[in-house]
Amino acid sequence: MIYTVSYVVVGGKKKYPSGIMNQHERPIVGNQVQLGSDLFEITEVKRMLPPSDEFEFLHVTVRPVEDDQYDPDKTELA
Amino acid sequence: MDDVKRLLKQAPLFRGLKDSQLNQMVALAHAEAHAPGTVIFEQDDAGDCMYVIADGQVEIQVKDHTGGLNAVLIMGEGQIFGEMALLDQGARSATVVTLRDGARLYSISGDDFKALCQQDTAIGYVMMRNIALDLSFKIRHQNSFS
Repeated sequence: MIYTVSYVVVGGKKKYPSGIMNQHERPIVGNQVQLGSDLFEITEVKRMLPPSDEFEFLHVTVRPVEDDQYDPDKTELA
Repeated sequence: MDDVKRLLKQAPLFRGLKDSQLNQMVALAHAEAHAPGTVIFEQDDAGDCMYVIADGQVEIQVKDHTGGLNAVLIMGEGQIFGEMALLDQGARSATVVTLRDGARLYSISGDDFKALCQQDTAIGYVMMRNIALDLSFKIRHQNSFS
């Protein structure tokens, strides 16, 4: 399955751009994801559209991770 | 050839194409490698091709009322950009810049793309449907936080 993921950032001290990525791993709440130069924690994963062929379309909400909260074990590549 | 075919198979834009049809799309794709911070195109430029991201991330920037650029979206592997100008012949709606690791892209010329779609309407139907679905997904994404 290929996941087409819409990332939306909620919170943070500045305005962050959102993201759209294809990935092979399903996003998991609590994991961290890198969008551009910033690191985010996944707070919610919802299905945006019904799956089609090999694709699943997800909406993911994330929040910015401060430097002291970085956890390499929880970081996945978007 | 194998790399671009593998990538295109994993991009929603090309879903539903048979192998022989995908080969025809692959023949239109030109590989490009860009260093970090490269401007792929600028808002208001004339647009003559679309891009598929093979690797890396790009930032989509839009001018505000002062003319300053604001980052609004980051796109990664498997995503397409530049398709709007290809469809409507309008100017580029945003500036696109590669991010920290640079990006590998495949560009597809608008003229070549439209010629193939007209020559083989089965491919044309699938591609136009997929572009519509991609734009629909982007609108849903935009609506989720506006």
